[in-house]
Amino acid sequence: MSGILLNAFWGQGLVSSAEAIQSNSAVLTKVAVPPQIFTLAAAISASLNFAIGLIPLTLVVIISGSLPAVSFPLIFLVGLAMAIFISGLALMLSVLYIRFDDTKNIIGVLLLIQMYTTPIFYPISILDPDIQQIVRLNPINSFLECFRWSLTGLGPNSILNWMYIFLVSILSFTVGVKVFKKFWPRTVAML
Amino acid sequence: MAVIEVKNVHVTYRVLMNKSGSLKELFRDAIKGKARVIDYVALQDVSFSVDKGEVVAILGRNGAGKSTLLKVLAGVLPPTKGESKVNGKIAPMIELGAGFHPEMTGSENVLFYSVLMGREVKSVRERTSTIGEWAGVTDHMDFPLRTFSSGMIARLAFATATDEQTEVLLVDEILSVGDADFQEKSKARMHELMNSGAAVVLVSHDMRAVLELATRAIWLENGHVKMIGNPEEVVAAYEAN
Repeated sequence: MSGILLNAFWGQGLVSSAEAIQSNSAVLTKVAVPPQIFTLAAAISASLNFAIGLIPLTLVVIISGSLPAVSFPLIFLVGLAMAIFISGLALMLSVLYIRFDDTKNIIGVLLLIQMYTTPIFYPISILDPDIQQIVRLNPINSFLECFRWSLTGLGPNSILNWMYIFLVSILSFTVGVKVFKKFWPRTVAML
Repeated sequence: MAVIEVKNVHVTYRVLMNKSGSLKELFRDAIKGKARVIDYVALQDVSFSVDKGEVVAILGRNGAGKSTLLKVLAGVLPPTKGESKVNGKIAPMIELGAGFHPEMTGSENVLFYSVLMGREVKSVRERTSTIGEWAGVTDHMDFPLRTFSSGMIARLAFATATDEQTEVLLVDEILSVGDADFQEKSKARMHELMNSGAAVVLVSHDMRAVLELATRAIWLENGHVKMIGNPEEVVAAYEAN
């Protein structure tokens, strides 16, 4: 369940944030407002949905006889890192969404592939050790491990995972802002 | 002092020549070496300035670059080359109701649109009921916008856009909003804003309105300024063309 919640945050958050600029084109072509606001607002909205989704998940944890771990508040750090990660990627993707109609379909397929290659419905331990090394490069896997550990105190946890999620988030955001800044003046004309 | 200064502005769009705007097709064309990018020049070396209290009309056929010029002035579209400087607050009346959301109430839309235009939340909240009253939609302000008629939306959008005194007014086509009474009311408000010293840039195909309102006219053709001068001369030359 925790995997589904986090994956929904990631997938839906990415798509809605990447679409946000295109769906607000009516405003952006008439009033001078920073377009990034719409992407960030969509990422924040996805974070709020994630926070609401945490309520039933926490209840299930309690009903099933466990108590949320002491590390529970760290979930909000995972959420923050994910929102930053999504915002950066969405800023880059929003340029493609405006320029190419089929970007949404391609991203949908890629997200599906990513979902099945991330240990959401199965434990990572069932994979071949060499494959495990490759899967561990997937940032969503690290987000998931940090989230599961924060929620229940169970499962693998390492400082490297935490460093990795914050590193990819900051990197995604920095690159996203730069790419967007570079391509936006040419892209706005296509709205 | 010029409120609007446009110096040697060029706007060039890079257009990808693939048929459907699809990433898949671009990939295929790129592999086959068929991907082509062409530069489409929308504005070419456009220069002019607008002083306080002036009403400048932009004339030209469809595709001449009028809307692109308004977008440059509104700060929405950065020029590829050159400089566009606007000193003061802009009220862009380019498409009334653009940005209004059907699920938000009338009051929420007024607040949202006003904030986008850079107004203060507190003062907008205080003015919301006055805006609704002026637009004649007081009873509907707490209902979602989807329950409004198109005339009511246009009236509310006009009332919101013109509620605050601005230094620059960008108008795309003279507005004929709502019924006859409201049209008179909106015309009076437009005149009030123009007479209060705002610099106005007006795009119109209505030559009568141009001659009635404008103090100067600019004729755009294929992205460059073909003629600039007093409205009578420019309109006569444009119509004779």
